[in-house]
Amino acid sequence: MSLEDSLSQANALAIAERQLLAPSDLTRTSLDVALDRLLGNGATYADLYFQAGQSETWSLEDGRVAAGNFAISQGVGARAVISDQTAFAYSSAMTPDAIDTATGAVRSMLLHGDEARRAGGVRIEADPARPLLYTVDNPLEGMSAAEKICLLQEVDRRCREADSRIVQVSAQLQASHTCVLVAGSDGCIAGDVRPLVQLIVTVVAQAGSKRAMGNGVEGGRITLAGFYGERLDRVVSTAVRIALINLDARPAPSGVMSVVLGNGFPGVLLHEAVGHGLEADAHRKRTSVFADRMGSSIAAKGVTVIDDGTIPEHRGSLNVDDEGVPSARNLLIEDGRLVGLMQDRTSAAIMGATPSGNGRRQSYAHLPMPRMTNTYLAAGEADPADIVRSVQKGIYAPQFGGGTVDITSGQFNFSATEAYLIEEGRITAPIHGATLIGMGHEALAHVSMVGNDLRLADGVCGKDGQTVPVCVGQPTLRIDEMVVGGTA
Amino acid sequence: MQGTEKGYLLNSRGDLSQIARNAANRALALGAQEVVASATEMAGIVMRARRGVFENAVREGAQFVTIRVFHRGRMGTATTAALDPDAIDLTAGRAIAIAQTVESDPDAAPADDEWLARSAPEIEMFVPSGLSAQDLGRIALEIEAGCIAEGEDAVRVGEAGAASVDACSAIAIGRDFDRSLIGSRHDLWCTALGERDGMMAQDSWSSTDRRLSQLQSAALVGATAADRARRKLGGRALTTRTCPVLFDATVAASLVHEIVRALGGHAQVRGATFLGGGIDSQALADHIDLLEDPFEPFGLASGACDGEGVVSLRRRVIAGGRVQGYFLSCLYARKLGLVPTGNADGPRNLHFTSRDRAEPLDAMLRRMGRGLWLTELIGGAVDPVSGAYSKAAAGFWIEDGEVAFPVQDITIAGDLPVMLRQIVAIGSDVHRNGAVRTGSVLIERMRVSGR
Repeated sequence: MSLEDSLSQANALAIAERQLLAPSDLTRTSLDVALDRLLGNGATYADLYFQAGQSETWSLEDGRVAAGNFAISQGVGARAVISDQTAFAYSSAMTPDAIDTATGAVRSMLLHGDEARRAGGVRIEADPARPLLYTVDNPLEGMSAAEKICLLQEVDRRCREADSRIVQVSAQLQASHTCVLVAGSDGCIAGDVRPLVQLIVTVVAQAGSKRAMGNGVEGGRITLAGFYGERLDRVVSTAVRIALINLDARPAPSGVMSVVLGNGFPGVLLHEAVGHGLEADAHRKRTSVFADRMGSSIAAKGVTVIDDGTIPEHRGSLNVDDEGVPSARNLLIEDGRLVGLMQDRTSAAIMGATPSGNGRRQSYAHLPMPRMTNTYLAAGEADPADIVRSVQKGIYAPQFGGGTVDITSGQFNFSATEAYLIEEGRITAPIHGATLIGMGHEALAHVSMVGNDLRLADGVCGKDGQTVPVCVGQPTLRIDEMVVGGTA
Repeated sequence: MQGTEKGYLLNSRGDLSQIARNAANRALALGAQEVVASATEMAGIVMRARRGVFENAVREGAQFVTIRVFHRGRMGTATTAALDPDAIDLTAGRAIAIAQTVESDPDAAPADDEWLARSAPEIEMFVPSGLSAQDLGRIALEIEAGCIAEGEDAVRVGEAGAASVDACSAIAIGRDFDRSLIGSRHDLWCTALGERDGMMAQDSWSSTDRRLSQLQSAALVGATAADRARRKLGGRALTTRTCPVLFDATVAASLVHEIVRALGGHAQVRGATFLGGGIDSQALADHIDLLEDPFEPFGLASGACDGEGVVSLRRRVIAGGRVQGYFLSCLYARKLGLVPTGNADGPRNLHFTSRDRAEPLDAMLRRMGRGLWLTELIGGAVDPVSGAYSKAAAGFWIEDGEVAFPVQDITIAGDLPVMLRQIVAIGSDVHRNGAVRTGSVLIERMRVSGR
């Protein structure tokens, strides 16, 4: 099968039914019986989530691909909800018996004996004619094992050829293909077929006794063939550049200063500083520093933030979320004002809102919750070079490792893997060991210039022990006040 | 094979041993030269309470089989969650196909026979609670009640939880090595939110043990979380400065994890380590020891052997600040010309101690006098090669050995090789955090960045 313009949501559902239900002799009727059983103890909503997938990892070290991994995952999760109470059980077997056991466990955990009733409100279902956002092809199959090994050897060769100081290269090629089907007690049924690939490159550079590391990551919901060309060039050049720069890096300064963040992955700032705080569960539980701020100004004018699960082939994109709700482009902050939240079904029902296509789960063995997809700060008009020139004394940070946030206090942090001093409007010496911190509700208020060079980059987002693939993104930004935590 | 009791598990220990053995035998029958197979199941119940009701009730249950085969230094690994014979055959076939495709690494092979844990003793770790969802739910509600009682109106509960989980894992290597281990684990936890003058602060507390009887009381877990959240209220930044830092016992384990990573086989072989001085190099202050004890009954990281079947060792990893050994799997042990240490799955129970007299927390604070008492590490980075250390943090500013005010919105920075040599003392206030036991750790000086 190949991606054609004509492939739509209806095709994804058909594939999911064929792969997930047919082998176990499950039918839509047997799903209805199981859902009725789940509703039996007074639940207002119930769903079944079927998932089956394959994944593969090939690893290169010391110029050799001497190890490979393959995994088959499968299972079904059964959930029943009464307002903000959820009972959940899952099984890695997908037979009718296993589903009976799971639904039985859910029933036994629900203590309320109210009369069963179906959830009211609007039924949310993906338009069967909506085009798919990514290929349904299995990325494990598009390339032979020998070709995958060749790709990794090409990475090794290119990194070493790029500079003689590169003394070690390790690279990992990951590919997975996951098919999901969600059946809800409101009659919603939806399927999604999700490819996901990633190439991770780590290099060590050495000059004399000094050693430094650099990383590059590229991927998306594409087939492996998509790696050749621009993506391969970028992952190699990024890893090599960071390692070489860090060979000469001096300790980062400490204290409050102006910071220019490069485009792309530095959007992790936005993800940590405000993204998690705009997930609806943190609002209904009042654990977010942004709770009760809807409609008010939480960022500088000119700052617009969007979570968009509909960008073709991007890592965080979904045709439907893990509750069967079609993904969407959701405006969160508009010209500095908080205008929207990311909702799953449970939070939306309690808050009287509409699910926004952000109900995600790591797997059938995890409960869905509101999560980000591809979250970015929209482009402005400034020339990135002018943004750097505007800073007298500060730092320029184009690459980061990752970050975390305490959504309750708003305190967030993230760590640069590539950073430089800015002196009198010019980028000068490279620095290492810079962790940047701030308060989520303050950081975006200090954005004073927004570049015209928006770019998205791949990330992994963790919340309550569950990880999901996402993109983060932003154009080059100037933030007037941030705490830089170096040793100098 | 002891123990017919299964706790929450669907398969008995004997069942899982048989599944692992069958998987190994199938792989050999399908043409694998050498094989390591494992079968694992975990099952339990997790209950979370909030505002007097159960927020969610989860029945956990996962099982999987992993088959790793070797062909003259070429290794293939495949995992399946489906355990039927067809799935096992497909999985073994994929592992063999990978091993036939990849390139050879002469050091990739199963454990040498003399490394295997054929006679290592059984360690007691399985004490299933037998608690129902309702029982655990009741405990979660008691935790919440304990939190609210302690916090009164300034504190509310983010989440109170109680969980009980059993897990069993069996390995089969080649034609005749079979071992299994079974354990239980019970957790109580509470996240509390303090709120004053429109500012919120969150903190949590938990109690974990393999025996239900050894857990802290539900009320105490809730009350401790409330106390920790309330004491953070009114936190403010410091100005940028250099000062001594006392890592509270609850966060000091993070320093031990950095040492473990730097002494891991992967880091040592790659040279991606800030502890690259070799065996017997002086890496820490000369009064520091790090002991690894895999055989502690009911230890959270106990085990007679690792996932490669390699026998565990009771040993000093650091003695008098000098490196005595690494954390090695078979692959990296061979690359370094050493013997594996039974750490293919990570460190066993670790004790981080000082040879000097250990003092309680209040004496440690007095000893520091003026400085930062670090109670929370929020995120940040450590460069594995240079040891450059920079983390977002929170805690309390200490004047004359007493708490002056709560501190937040700061970073602490230093160089780990220097920090580890500048450990002044380790307290007697020992806290267990997973595999690691340590008291509070006083470091002579670090850079604190603030506003």
